[in-house]
Amino acid sequence: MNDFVIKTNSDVPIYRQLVEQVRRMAASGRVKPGDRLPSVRQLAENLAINPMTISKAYSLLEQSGLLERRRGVGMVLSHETGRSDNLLQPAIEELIMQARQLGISKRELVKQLGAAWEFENDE
Amino acid sequence: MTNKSLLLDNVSIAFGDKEVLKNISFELPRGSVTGLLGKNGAGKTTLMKIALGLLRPDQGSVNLLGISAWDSPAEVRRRIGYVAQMDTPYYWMRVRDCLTLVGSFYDSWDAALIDRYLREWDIDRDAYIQDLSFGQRQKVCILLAIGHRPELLVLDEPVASLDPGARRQFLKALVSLNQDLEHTILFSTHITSDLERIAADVALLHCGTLTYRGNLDELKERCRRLYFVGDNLPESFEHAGIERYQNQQGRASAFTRNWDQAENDALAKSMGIRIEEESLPLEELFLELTLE
Repeated sequence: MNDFVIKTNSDVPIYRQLVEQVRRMAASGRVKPGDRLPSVRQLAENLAINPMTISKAYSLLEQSGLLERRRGVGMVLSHETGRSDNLLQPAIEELIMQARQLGISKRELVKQLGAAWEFENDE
Repeated sequence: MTNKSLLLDNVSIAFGDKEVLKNISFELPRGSVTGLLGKNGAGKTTLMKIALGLLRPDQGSVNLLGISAWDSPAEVRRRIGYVAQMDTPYYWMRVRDCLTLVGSFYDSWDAALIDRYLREWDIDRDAYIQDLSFGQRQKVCILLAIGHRPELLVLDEPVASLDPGARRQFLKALVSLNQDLEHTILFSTHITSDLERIAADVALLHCGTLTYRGNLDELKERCRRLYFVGDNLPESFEHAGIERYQNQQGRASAFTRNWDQAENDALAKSMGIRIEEESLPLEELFLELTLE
């Protein structure tokens, strides 16, 4: 997996570059559901990147549902990768960023989302 | 065992009447990799020497791996690695002999690791150190500092003499050392692209004070250059969080360390203009954050 290209001297943090590249690989079919991604250790050494940066990217992709952590195997591309994942992701990230900036906790955000969802359904 | 590899509390030092470090408080969590950035003369080397107990601060306390660095030099040497700037120790010796000598000082010397890097880094073990190029000498200094797998590795401009290929090899070695997240690394450099790769945290030293200390990604995500677009822009402008507003012939720009889209939109609306934002690469941020 030498497909990752890291640009330094970019305004985009390295973990975001990794996130985008995994998304693109999944969207183009270069990585297929069930395929294993390189371990944090491998990728860190190959790219000469801080392991925490790789972990951060993988965790974000796991939260978004694109990657799955499988015991004894590592990170694999999820089978659940519907189109909705890619389409909603930017909006979700924006929402989380705004919530953070407003000092709204995760619990509060989820609560508000739930309430808004119910409200829409009632309409 | 402490979860802080280094703790500086309110450290100041002056040489003659020149204050070099002013009230520096600084900590390195165990397993972290921190890049120390600063212009020439900002105090980076002095900060490192104080951290290692090689210099005594006029004021403030230093706790290194749970002990007082100044009072326990032997203990410190056993547990830390230090690559000084432009250092040529053992210049009269052959590479292999100096590595054997230094290795014999340590119980934990990893000869296999050293052998591996001698091969990978293409260092002639039979050469005399004084005959090596600056770059090759620097590589030997790095090996001398990591052979005992130190709990804290402090590197002062470690890549200054290395070519891009050698720099990449060196960065990989640092990543490898840090993989278990037990080994803490502090290094100073002018090369921001190297720092970005392997440092998760950054400390920015400017005129003897720390102007930023924290996560590198957050720094990038929070700082923005702002461009004010519209008619009749004010000549000068003061607003909380907005720095260095400059209006030059109708083109106005500023800088913020605390970007917030909503606040920005509100401000633009109240001024009846547009404010465009631009995120910046680390090198540009470094320049912005070290202006007088």
